[in-house]
Amino acid sequence: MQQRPTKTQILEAIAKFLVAEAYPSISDKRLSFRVLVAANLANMVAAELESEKKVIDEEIARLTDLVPDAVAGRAPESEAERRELLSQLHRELAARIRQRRFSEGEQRRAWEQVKEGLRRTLAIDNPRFDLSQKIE
Amino acid sequence: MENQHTTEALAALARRIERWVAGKTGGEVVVRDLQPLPGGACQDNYRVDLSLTAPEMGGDRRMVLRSDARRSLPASLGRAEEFEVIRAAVAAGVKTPAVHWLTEGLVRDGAHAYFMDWVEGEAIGRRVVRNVELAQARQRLPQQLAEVLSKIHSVTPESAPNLRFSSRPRPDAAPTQGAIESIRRQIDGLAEPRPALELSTQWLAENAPADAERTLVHADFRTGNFMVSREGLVAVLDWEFAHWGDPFEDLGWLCVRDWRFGQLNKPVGGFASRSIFYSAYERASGRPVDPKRVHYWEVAGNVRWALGSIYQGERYLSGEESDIELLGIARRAVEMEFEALRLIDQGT
Repeated sequence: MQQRPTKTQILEAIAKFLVAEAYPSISDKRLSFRVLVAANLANMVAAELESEKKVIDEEIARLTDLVPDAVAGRAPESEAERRELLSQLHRELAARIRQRRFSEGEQRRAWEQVKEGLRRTLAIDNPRFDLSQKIE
Repeated sequence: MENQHTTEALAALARRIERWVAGKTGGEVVVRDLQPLPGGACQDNYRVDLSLTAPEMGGDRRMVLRSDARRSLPASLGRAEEFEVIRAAVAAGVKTPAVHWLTEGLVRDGAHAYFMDWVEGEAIGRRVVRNVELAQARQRLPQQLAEVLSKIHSVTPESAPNLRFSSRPRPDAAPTQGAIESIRRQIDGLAEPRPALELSTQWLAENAPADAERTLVHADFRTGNFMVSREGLVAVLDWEFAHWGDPFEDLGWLCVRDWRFGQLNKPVGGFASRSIFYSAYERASGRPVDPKRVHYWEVAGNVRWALGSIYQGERYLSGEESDIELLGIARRAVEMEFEALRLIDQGT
């Protein structure tokens, strides 16, 4: 398998090409806007690829702590297994919230952990998004 | 899907328009130009240039022909209901383009359609909140929008008994209950679980304010859905989500973070502070603003738009639409999810 240029480098190159070369030559406003959207998406996926493994592992650890019984004895190895485990954790968490199966303390921890997950996703996907708590 | 926009199809539609409008106005009608318009998930829109000879409505007029699309978004009105809502709004003095000549089958079999006066102005959200030439308009917007909103909210089930919202599953349910049911239904249809939406929806269910007065609610009253010129507000558009509800739903929706288009420190639509807008609305409507109720609907608005954005992405993924922007919108759902939790933590 060829490693260089890496997936990230290629996605970043696509984004750069779209913004620096394609965008200035397009006169149709709707089309040029879509070119910027496409570049943005390519950059976002590049950023996700760079941190994906760490983000998934950390989220699995945080959520497992909330619903340990749901995933007991599972030690995923492959990337596909880890993704599947994370999906299962999300499903389990969503169901327990809906069915009000958490105690007050568990609910508070779930709230903090879910919010932390969103914060980390946003820090990668949209670094300009203001994560501060106090906004008018 | 067959192409409705071939030269032949457009020419045939122009002839049908001429016959229909001639019958309605009692004069001669010529379609000088007919162009399909982009956008609109629930409508099939055209720009029509007409020459009319009827005494009451003569001369050259540019209009929009709005027809039902093949698909519609959940809880959105069809053109026939939308027509009646706009007529009620115009009668209440709301600045919105007048509508004419409701019909069925003009554009497509079974599809309702009507004509709407054309208005010129800027509606693109990021331009409305940023463009230098609109600085003066932004000074006027709080007052003008507060007045428009108070007129919308002056329409009630008692004052307009003929207005019906058949697309709302339970029009008589408490507004908060209706909103929560709609949110839960959409969550249940998602392809992947979203714990953050479960948390914020649970908060909505546990913190619903007591049922209060019920008025006409525009329900998509935000920057991007009104037309602005240098002088300020030109017209309010996009009535397809209108229903009977809590008037503060419209205030909360206008404050939703995404409709500030980057102007975070101007919480009302990216152009005003809360205090300026709330006072303007209180003066115009005589209704004291309850910040807690606005906060509730702002949380609900973020949840609604998180779901809305996810479903926009699904329209691309299903093959129904080909606009790549829909994928970008769907990936931004996490912003609204975070904002709902942040707002709840922050409190009123």
